[in-house]
Amino acid sequence: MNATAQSGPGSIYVLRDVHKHFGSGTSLVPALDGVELTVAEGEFLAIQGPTGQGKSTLLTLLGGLDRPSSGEVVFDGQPLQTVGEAEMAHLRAHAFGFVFQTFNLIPTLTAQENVETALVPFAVAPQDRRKRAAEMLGHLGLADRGHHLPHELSGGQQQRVAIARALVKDPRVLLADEPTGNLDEQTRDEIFGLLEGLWRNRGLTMVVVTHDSAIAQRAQRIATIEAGRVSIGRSGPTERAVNGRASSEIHLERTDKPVPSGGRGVRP
Amino acid sequence: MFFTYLRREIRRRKKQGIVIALGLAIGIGLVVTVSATSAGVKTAQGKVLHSLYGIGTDITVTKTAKAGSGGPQRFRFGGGPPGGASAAHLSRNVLHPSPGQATLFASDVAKVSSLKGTSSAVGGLQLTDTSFSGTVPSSSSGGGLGGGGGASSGRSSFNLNSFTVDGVQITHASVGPLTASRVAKGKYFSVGDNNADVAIVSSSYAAQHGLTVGTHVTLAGKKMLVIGLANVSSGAANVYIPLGTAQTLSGLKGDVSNIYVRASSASSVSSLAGEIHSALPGATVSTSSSLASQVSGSLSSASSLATNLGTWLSYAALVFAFLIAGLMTMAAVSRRVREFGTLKAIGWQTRRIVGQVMGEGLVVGLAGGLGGLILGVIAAEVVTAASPSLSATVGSAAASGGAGAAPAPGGRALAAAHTVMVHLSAPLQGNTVALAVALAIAGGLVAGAFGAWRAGHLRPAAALRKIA
Repeated sequence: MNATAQSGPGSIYVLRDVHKHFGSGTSLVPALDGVELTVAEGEFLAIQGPTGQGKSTLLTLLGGLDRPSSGEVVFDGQPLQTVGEAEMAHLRAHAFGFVFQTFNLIPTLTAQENVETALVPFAVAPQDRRKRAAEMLGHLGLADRGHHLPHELSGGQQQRVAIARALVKDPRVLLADEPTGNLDEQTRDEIFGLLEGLWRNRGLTMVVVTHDSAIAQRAQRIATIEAGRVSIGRSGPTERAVNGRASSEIHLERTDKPVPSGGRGVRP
Repeated sequence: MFFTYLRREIRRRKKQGIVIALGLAIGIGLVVTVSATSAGVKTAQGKVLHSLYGIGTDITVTKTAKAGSGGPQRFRFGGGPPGGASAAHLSRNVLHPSPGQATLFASDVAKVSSLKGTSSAVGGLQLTDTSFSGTVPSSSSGGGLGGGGGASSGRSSFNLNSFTVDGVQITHASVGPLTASRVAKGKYFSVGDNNADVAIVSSSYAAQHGLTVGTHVTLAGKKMLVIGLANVSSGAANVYIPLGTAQTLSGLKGDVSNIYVRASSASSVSSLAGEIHSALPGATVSTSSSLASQVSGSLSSASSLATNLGTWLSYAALVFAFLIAGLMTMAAVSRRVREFGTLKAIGWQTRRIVGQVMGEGLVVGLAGGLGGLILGVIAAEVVTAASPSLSATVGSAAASGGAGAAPAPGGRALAAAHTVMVHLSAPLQGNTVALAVALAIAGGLVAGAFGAWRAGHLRPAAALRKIA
């Protein structure tokens, strides 16, 4: 049974009857089938489910990388299906940070330059861009790896660079697609601990697609996708540990950093 | 970031970049070579036309002799030596108009000068100096003139020499068969030289006959002081003398054989030619374009080869190179779907990605253009160094037909099936370099556009799904 989408003042995402299919005619492949989902601002939501059930597709819709075949994806009160391509790129640049399973670093650019690519759409001065990228790498323990190319880094280090790239622009939402899927257990715990810490300290909304139940259990809520339909399972331990309240009433403790909105999220 | 990314990507795809640049270089190099060679052919044609036509001249007016009035020059000798000797030593030197060529009145020059559209018009007299010397048998011996120059038949022995002479209207030093600028040694005619016994000799003829400034050349039995040597092309006259002197020596007082006309503007050449034709009925009026169309020989073949086959071949190669470059760039973009999908996911606008791909294509294109220019310069240098000889033949019909045959715009040249040898060079001109640069930019943009089109149409989710 699908979760019912409830729009409220603290909701950053509201999905109503979202369908997504690929192909056409007889080769039509449904990926999402009437998804209803609300994500509160500052929430940590894990999306679980078997392979090929629509987890990544849902994430691409949340991140404005794709559009639903029908239904509505509302981000911060704005239906994404009505947003033009240029405005969508603007949203992706300012509001969303992506972390991919395969890191997706540009192989010819150094770690520092990869992080800087996320600031290119902001047209900040090159000097400022370099400074902020270096700072972010420093926060993630890669201060001495900035000049290394991706293939010169370990998997864990590459994922840290990818996380730095996602967060250097202070996004409102961090969307992670199997962020620890390519890592060994120790590195997985290390990376996920890092993500969890960032979520806590930066007031992010975090949506993580994962196969890994151990990771999912640390989220405030777990959404399970099966055959393109979403069901909300029990709340994860994080929520209970942090708030002890129901998921629909989540209010996380924030840092004193103002939450960026749209393009205003990046420091000048 | 743009340049860093561009530089690294080009370095990463070095081999592919080299292949694309090389393909473009070959195409552009071919175009540069053909353009340079075409320029060389045009220059060669210009040289030929100048030699046949007169410098600074747009229109030439001549008159063809009526049938029966021309024919070969005949020598008239007096009676045999006293005493009825069996052989006689004879020597004659005459200056006569070229066979098949009739003369115009000097007043015709004034008529043409007065026409609207004429900038300047000068008269010229094209002559041939023929000398005969030797021993011929008397009539009783039954011998006769036979053989050619220097031939010997029985008891006869004689030499026959001829060279070409142009009478030049010296009041106009910039139009006509010889202009002041052509004089390499010595000086051009002075204002008072119109009837003087002075001559300017072509450098090549002077070299062959040991003539220098201050020596003498004999025309119609009269010694002319050589006052200058001129660099003229191989089809031009051997000796130039003032028009008044030429008229006197040839017995053609008040006549000219050619009128050289410069039009007031290039656009008025055609209409002026029509006006001259009306003013001088019976005269042959020809423009440089009509003369060019009568040029045949290997120069003409080279010209049509460069214009037709060369141009199309080089452009076909260029289009092929553009296409290959475009397809290879598109293939490269296909391999970078992951990158571009990621860049879109982190907020790069499509136009920024397209600009990045176009930039890479442009750099590769410019590298190809530089390579093409270098290839073209090398090929042009090879052509110039090899300097193949091309022959241009003009007016064979007039020569074979003699008087009354096809119009002969070049006067002497056409009356004698004139063949001019020129050496082909392939000069690189500014517009050829500009063409290479333009083609390089175009090639880069075409190659980049293929890739950019592919990159621009990538949907980020689809791009990211491909790597999953």
